[in-house]
Amino acid sequence: MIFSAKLSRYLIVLSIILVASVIFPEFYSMTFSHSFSSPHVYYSPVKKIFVKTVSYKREIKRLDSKGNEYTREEFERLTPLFSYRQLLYRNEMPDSIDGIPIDISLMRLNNIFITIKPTDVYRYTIPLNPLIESEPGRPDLQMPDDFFRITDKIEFIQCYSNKVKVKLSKLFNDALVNCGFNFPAKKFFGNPSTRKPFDEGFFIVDNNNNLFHMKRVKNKPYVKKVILPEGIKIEFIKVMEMNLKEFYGIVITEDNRLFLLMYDGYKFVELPSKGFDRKKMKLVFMGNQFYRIISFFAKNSVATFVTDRNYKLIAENMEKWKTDEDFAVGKIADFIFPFKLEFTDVYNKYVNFNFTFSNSSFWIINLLFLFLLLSYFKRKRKNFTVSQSVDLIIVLLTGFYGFIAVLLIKDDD
Amino acid sequence: MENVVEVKNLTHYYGNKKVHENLNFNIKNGSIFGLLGKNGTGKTTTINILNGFLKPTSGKCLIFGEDSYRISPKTKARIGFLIEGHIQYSFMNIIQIEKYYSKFYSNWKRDIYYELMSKLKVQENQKLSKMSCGQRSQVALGLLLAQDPDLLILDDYSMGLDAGYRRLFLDFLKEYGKGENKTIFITSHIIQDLDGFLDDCVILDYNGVVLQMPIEEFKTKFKMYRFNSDQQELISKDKVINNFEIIKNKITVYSFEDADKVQKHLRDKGMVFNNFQNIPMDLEDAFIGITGKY
Amino acid sequence: MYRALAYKEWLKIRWFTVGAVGIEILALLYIFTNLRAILEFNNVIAVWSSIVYKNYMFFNSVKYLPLAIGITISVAQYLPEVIDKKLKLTLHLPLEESRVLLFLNLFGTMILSVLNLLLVAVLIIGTSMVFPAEIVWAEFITLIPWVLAGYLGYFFTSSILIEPSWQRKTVMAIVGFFMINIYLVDAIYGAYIGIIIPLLIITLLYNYLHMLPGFRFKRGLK
Repeated sequence: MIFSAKLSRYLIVLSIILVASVIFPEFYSMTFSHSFSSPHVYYSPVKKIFVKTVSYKREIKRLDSKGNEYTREEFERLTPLFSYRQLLYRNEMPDSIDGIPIDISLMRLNNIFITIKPTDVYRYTIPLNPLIESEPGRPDLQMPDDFFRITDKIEFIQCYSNKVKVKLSKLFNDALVNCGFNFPAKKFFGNPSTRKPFDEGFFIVDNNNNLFHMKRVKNKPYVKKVILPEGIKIEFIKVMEMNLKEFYGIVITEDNRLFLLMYDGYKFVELPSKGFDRKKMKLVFMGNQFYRIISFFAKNSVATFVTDRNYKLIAENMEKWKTDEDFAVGKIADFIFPFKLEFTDVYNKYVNFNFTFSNSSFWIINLLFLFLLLSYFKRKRKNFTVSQSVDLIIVLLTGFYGFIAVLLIKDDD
Repeated sequence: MENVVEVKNLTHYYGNKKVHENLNFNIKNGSIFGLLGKNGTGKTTTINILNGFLKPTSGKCLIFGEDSYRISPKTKARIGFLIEGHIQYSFMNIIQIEKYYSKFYSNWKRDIYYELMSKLKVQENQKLSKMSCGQRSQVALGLLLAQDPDLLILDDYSMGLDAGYRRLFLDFLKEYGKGENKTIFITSHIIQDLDGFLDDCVILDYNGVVLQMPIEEFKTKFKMYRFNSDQQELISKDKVINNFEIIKNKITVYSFEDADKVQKHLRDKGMVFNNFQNIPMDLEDAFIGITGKY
Repeated sequence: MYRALAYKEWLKIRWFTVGAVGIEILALLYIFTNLRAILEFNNVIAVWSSIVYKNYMFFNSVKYLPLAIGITISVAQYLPEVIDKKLKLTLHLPLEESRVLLFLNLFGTMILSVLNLLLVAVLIIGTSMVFPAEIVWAEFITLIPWVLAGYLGYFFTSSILIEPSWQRKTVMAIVGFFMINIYLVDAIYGAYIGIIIPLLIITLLYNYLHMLPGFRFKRGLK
């Protein structure tokens, strides 16, 4: 009985520590933390400088790298391709930029805005997808009445009956086999919506990490193997059908490199990726007639790279700002809480034990609590029992949390 | 085994409140032992320690040679105990509850249980929760007798029972107690029933043990004397006088000393009295005599 | 002897078990008739899409059912033991005390397992008739933490009931609340996939949760 009672006690003590490491830091954060919003960074084709909008004390400031401030109208004049609607409204739209005359519809065609967040990539996905008919013979796309899966073969499942469409599946399966597809598929990337100008089907990573492009053309398979650059392993592809028809989408690799998958021969054009951490940063890809502007948003920084339309790097910018960790609020938290536990993460859609350990300063507080517990024990009896020694170790390791746990559930022997 | 229960230097505190200090007594095999005392004198604590649901602060309480708070299963089978209030599982009826308990004890005597049940006017499928206090007490008793334990611990068997059920309970207990090597430990605050039943007793009051001796010895040695006197103020509790009561000029004193010694003691104190009498007492009188009416 | 103990435990909880089966059947009826209506009155492809891309969980209404059942069975089992300290009767039986306590717990968890199996099996089988294996699997992964929460509810309720001191009852209630919440986070299909095994192990360990309260009850500790 004593053994199971002791086991039970440690179970309860550990549970208290676990719960404490969740609720105390959370409560502290709810009470004391501040929000720090990231600036939005733009590149002006007019002045060839970086300009940014920053949220400052509930006001928006518009600044350049030298700290000069601009009014909203001045800012819009600096970023005509981005702010064209406001400029047109005020009749302030320039006739040309860099000698090239402005054509509104051409400008609209070239304007691109793509965001990829870590939560888009790191999440459980149900491996079923609809393969939209890409040549419907009608102006609008329509959802098919089947979803496909690729396990040891490809199967199209009729939604109404939940049964496999045998003929269609065989047709596509033969096409995949002929292309050298290795079953089962590992990843699927596509845009399963009908609210787009046309459909480019799915890009599929097979079991050998090769990439294939599959489309449904007049209900028949279109399958092409895409040759990957040397040593590339695909992590994610954001497929975006655009009338511009320059690239199928943005590719993120497992070693944090970025590429555009071009229409032209499935070429891979590399984008700047210095300092990019795909698991922790939001990627924003902006495009216009003149530039490609790639930004990586982290918790306390945004790096921006500007290339020309041939993807040659012409400018880079780094913005950093302080967050809670850099102020007293954060430093005190570091001090009191040896670690914090969260079950959800801003960067993915999984539930997991996410431990964040503080910097080493918490050992001081741990020792303080250890000392408090020591003197408490000494008051009760002269020598230490084995279980009291274990309690002391628990407090040494978990500080404040262990201290509460061990005192709430005192050993009864 | 000579002593079925041995209590040695038992000390217990509830927080900072001292309940017992160095309590010592033994219960001999085959005896019927009573723990008497008013409410709040530590009876419940003693019983809880004895039945193994309280670990004493210090000292020992041994039952069949084992610490009462961790008795082996084999020894537990030899101990039957009645919880105060005749607590039993009330969601069962008399058939279910007998069937249930019979599986745990090898010497189960179902006849005596059903003999007792036949005296109750209850239906077979009547749940205990739907019975009266008295009927429930008989079920609890029946289960204990059927278990046929070597040591029977009864915490306040009389609680909530009217005279009839109390007597019925005691009758069956007495029969049981006549058996060989059957030891009974009983607490109660209704003393009169126990007269003629108990062999030994310990009496507690708010300061601890006030008496520990066999019943016969207690009843013979402890005496009640009555006399008239106008000098009430001279009477007090001392070495000779255990307790006293004054109603107008009638004074009653209790003492272990014989009449001559008591009278001499009174005169030594300077008292003038008359009509000195030795009044015979029963157990209840003696109990009140030693613990006081309040 | 343990069979008799099981008999007594069953007497306490049999009607609650029947009630739980009844509620499960009602819940399942609701889910499947509702699903049938959804599929009938909506575009079936849109329903598949909302499951695959918009996290539509047609079985969401059973999220807290295992927890409610776990708590109810525990109350049915242990409240009669805790009133008037009747647990003393069971601990006084000629059996090893820790085994008795573990057995009571085992009995309750066995009943829970039967109830959970019924619920999950019917859901899975029903779903597989209308949806492909990938959706059934995602549903299964999502159901597991909810079912485990039921066991946790049982363990914590038992421990809180048996524990003699009010201070510790409160502490355990708070801890139980937060621990159970871990299993019931609002999440997408399959969000728990990386943590299922650890959660399973933790749940198994919690079978011992009531042993300290049981020990403290036996020793008369406050």
